[in-house]
Amino acid sequence: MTTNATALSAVIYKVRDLAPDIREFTLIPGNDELFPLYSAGSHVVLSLPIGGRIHRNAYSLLGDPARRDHWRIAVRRQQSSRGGSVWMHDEARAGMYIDLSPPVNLFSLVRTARHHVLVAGGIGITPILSQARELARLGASFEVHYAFRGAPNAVFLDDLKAIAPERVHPHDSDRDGQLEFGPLLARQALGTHLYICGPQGMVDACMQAGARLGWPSKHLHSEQFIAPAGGEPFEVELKRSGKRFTVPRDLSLLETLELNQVDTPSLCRGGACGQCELEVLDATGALVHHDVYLSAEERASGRKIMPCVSRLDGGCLVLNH
Amino acid sequence: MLTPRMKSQPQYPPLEWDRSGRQHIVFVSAEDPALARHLFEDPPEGDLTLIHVSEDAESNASGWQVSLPPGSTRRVTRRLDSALQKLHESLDQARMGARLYLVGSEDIIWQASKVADRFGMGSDAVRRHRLGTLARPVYCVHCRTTTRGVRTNVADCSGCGRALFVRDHFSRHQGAYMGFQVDAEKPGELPPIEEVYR
Amino acid sequence: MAIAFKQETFRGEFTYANSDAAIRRFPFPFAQDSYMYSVNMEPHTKGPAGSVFEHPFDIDEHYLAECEDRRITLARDPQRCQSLPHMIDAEWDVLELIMTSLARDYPECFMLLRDGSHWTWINRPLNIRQPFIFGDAATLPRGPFEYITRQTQGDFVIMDQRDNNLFADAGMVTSQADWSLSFDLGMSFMEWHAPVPLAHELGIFDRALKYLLMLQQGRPVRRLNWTMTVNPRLDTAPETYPEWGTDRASVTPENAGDKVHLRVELQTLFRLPRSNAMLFGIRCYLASLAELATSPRWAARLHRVLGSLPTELQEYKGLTRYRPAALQWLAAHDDGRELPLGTEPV
Repeated sequence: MTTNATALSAVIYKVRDLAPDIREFTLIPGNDELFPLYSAGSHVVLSLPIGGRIHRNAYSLLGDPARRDHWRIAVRRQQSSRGGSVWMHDEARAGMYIDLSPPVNLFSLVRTARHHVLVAGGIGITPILSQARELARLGASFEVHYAFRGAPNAVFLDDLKAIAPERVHPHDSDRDGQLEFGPLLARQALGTHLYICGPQGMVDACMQAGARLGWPSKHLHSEQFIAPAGGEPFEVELKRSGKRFTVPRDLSLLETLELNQVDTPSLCRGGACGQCELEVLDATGALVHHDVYLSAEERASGRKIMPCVSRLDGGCLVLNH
Repeated sequence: MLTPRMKSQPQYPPLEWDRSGRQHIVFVSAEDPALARHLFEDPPEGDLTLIHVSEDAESNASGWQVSLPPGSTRRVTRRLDSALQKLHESLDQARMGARLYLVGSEDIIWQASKVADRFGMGSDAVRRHRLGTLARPVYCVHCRTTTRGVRTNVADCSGCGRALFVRDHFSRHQGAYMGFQVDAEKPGELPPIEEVYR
Repeated sequence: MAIAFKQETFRGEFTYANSDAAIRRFPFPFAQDSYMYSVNMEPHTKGPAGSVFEHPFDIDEHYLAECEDRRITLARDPQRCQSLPHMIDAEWDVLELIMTSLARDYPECFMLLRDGSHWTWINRPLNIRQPFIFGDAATLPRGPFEYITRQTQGDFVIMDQRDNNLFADAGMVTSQADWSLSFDLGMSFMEWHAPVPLAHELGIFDRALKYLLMLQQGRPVRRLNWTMTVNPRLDTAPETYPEWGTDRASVTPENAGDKVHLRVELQTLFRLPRSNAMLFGIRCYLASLAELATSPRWAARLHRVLGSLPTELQEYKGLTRYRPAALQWLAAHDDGRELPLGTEPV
């Protein structure tokens, strides 16, 4: 859905190790302006130059949004990643320029909740810290449970305690075993919302405990990141004009057509209005539909595509245009 | 006159237990012995509370009380305001995982819903079953008074006296259907009055 | 660029009128000879200079008169502005968005001085100089949302985003086309759109909701909506229906040109940064049939759109009683020739 059109430019100002595998990066605006404001739970997507290609990785903003002269993220080094966290630890240095998306929030607080339970596992503390700060500022009722493996990995615990004295429950899993979700969820009053960010196994255990205890799923929130725009490059052939282009990773089909001076209608540019619909004559790859306009039947027919947001998963797409 | 269904108008599907819940509070204000038997002969897991409001609630003769499984909590009263207070108390003690079932007229269902709203119970924790009269509560947009027990397509506002057309547009927050002056364009020109909400 | 603000009324004597420039920039919504609902949202990017789309918030020659009309409506009925308690962060977001936009886009009218959280807002047309502390409601004479929307043209609704849904949890609604804030406050997206005929079956609202849930900061969107009003009356709320309802029966083929007005809403949607809520602006533009007919193309097109409008939409938009008179007046301006697609006046 998004392109690089509104990418922000930032500079890595400072790098600080918080734990053996956890590094905090302080970013400042790459030009003279301030960073935009954001809501607690937001993340930004960094464009990392790895191996000649751009990799996109999402990181939660952990600082105070009112401080617009710098942003802070924290990255845990993970060997099994596609290389993003390794690059951040091994290659990223103070002084480097980096492109990032404006903030997006898919993990926001529910403002009508009577009580909020925040749960962080390991590096999952990053969005939880920003949510705790916001709830404290609002004077809301909340509690924070922070699970980590050994005291050296309890990064930001002091920050949390300073933000929310009396409300923080640290849990050293090396010493106390796994965090038990049963008792934690069973005692919560009606109108409580729970927000969890941590390793997949921990999140799954929490969700399962919630389901067992009858929590409506709308009251259980886990961190979500926006699906990165773009995808595999693919060829497109316009049957009527005979033109042929490559749609690169970072541009939508619509943008590629426009860049090549192809006259094609569009309106909302977000997959909802139907104006940009094009007819598919042939496709040697799988159609990847990201719109909300076509019906299930229309998608399955393989004869229509909304070029503003949808793509082909490699191969060649032939359009009746 | 058949009007197309208004998307804000609440729907009331047949009442069944939500067995994913761990505690169940049933608030009833109308009789249906067959429904009571159907529900209580196969109760869900977890604590069960019955809050029963009716003129003769204390006589224990109602199908709701007769069929209630042993071990359940029973709270009965003849007054609606007292029943809503008991509901408030039950919800205050309840924990996440509780489910609420509201049975009765549309008016009472939505008054009870307001109590549930205050406890943050959303649509996935509350089930509603309309029983008995179709009489509507009507919110007058002009004077903001709600007139209860309206059975006709046009009714006089109990606040300002205007003749109100009763729409199908419903506000959960107000717990009422919208009413507006039916003859605002041509004063005195009223449509035939029909009893449509018996 | 100085704006010549008009002295005019939207009630009583109805002295409202558009200058020639205002008519030329009127957002005529019909690009073809018939009308049906669609998800006609597009990016709210900077439009042509002088157009209603040039700036995120449009100020025009009717500014002072509209502010005064809002003041009167609120004095008679304070509940036309309401905000649920959890919306306070969103209110500040809105105040900041509108103040920074107006100060940037209309520097001869508005100024915003900021020293940390000590702000001073200057509104020259309304003769206001207001120092206050951003975030401290006690330093403003009214709640932040009410404060700034009393100085902005158009209605506003703030929607809280939760549960994959949008809820109308705050509103300043004094120029609406017949919907009640008191009744709709707290409603979800589908609930408050419930009375709109046909659009639900077309899947309009399902798609619009999904699209809006993904709205991002800095990338607002806009669309046009329309209805008609008898007399240039802003306050056509259900609350005051007994006051303006009789106007509908007062239209004749002779007076339709002056009495019947096309009412176009420029609807804008902005993601709000601190609260993650969404601001929904409903900016109302009124022009009489006679004013529109200074463009022969517009008059002919409107004649055809009105003539072919489905019955459900006629009823929903409240046109039934005076549509025949309006059509009769417009017919004289329609020679039946083919009109090109598009909304331009010439």
